[in-house]
Amino acid sequence: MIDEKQIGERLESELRPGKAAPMGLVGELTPVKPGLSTGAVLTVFAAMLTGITVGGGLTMGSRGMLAMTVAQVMIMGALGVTMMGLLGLAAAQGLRPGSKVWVNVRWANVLPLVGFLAMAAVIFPWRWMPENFIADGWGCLREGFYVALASSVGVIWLVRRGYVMNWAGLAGTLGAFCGLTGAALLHVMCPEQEATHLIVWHGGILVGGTLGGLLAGYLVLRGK
Amino acid sequence: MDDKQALVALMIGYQSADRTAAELLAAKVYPMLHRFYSSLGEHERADDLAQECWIRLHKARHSYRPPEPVLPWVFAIARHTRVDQFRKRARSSGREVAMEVGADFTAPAAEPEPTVLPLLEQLPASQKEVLLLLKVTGMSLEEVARATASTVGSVKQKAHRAYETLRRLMGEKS
Repeated sequence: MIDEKQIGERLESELRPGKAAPMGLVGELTPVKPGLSTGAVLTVFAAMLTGITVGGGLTMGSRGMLAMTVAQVMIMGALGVTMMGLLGLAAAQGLRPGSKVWVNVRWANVLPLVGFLAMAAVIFPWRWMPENFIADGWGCLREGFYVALASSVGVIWLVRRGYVMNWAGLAGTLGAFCGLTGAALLHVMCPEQEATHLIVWHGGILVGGTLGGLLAGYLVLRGK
Repeated sequence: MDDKQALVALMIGYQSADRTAAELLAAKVYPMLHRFYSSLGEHERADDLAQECWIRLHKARHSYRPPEPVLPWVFAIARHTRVDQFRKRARSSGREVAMEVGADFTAPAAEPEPTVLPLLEQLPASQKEVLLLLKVTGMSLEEVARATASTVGSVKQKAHRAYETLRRLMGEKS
């Protein structure tokens, strides 16, 4: 019985040899900076998230932090850092062709949202008040989207430093990160720390960010 | 210095606009690209695809980060080039009229008849691609995993299944 090694050797001997490189293949050359490392992408993400939440908290108030218990602050903080790490790894591998696959991009895009919704439902009280639900929530949604839009500038800079092959996946990841920055700042400044409000309006920014990213990726692909 | 380290050194030279390094890199990588496309059944288009891929490698040269292995970076872009060209052809195929192709007079008559190569056509595309990446480029399982944006386990499984199918087909043939 023929084994794997013999099949491989036979296949190698039957493959046609490749043609040599044609003359003049190498054109104009200019020096370029090497791509960003995974650590650098994670650092950029961490700096953006910290800058937005701390800066926003200092300038616009931190009533949300004061309304939470210490345990809630710690759990949501840890969740935010985990989400950022997951999205950062997915973004780093999407920006560099041939890089090691650390996380599945689809999971990385969906897990932060699932984690946020689950935590909001479990660790925050349910005291739904229909009279202010839309008025308060709409304000949060608008502010969150402004923040997400602002962080998309940093994200576009990252994209320019890489080479994207899977636009849909990467754009979803970056959109989810922009949504995360918006939701994180709202968590610091919004005093309405109630499960329904968090799930619908703060979670809505995560959903909107991811969908906005996917739409942007689709538009880039169509334009190519 | 082994071949892989030499490629990294050439790539660093290419990024810093060293013409000699770029030409040496092209001399090493281009035949591999041509062989890869040609083995995937793109005989007529192998030249075009390899040149298009080289243009993309040139544009994307900033996205390589030393000292990571060079070949997974090259072949990730090579796969993407092929998929892109396939999509473009699919879009324009409705507007094109097929031309009759003449007989292939370039095939040498004296070579022994291949036994494994024709059987590759019966493999699923992903298994065939993994097998060729392993054999054409000499990349390791981990490097092929990087080039195909998958895991080592998945590459190992695809290669194993491909060998199993080839062994069965060869058994049936004989």
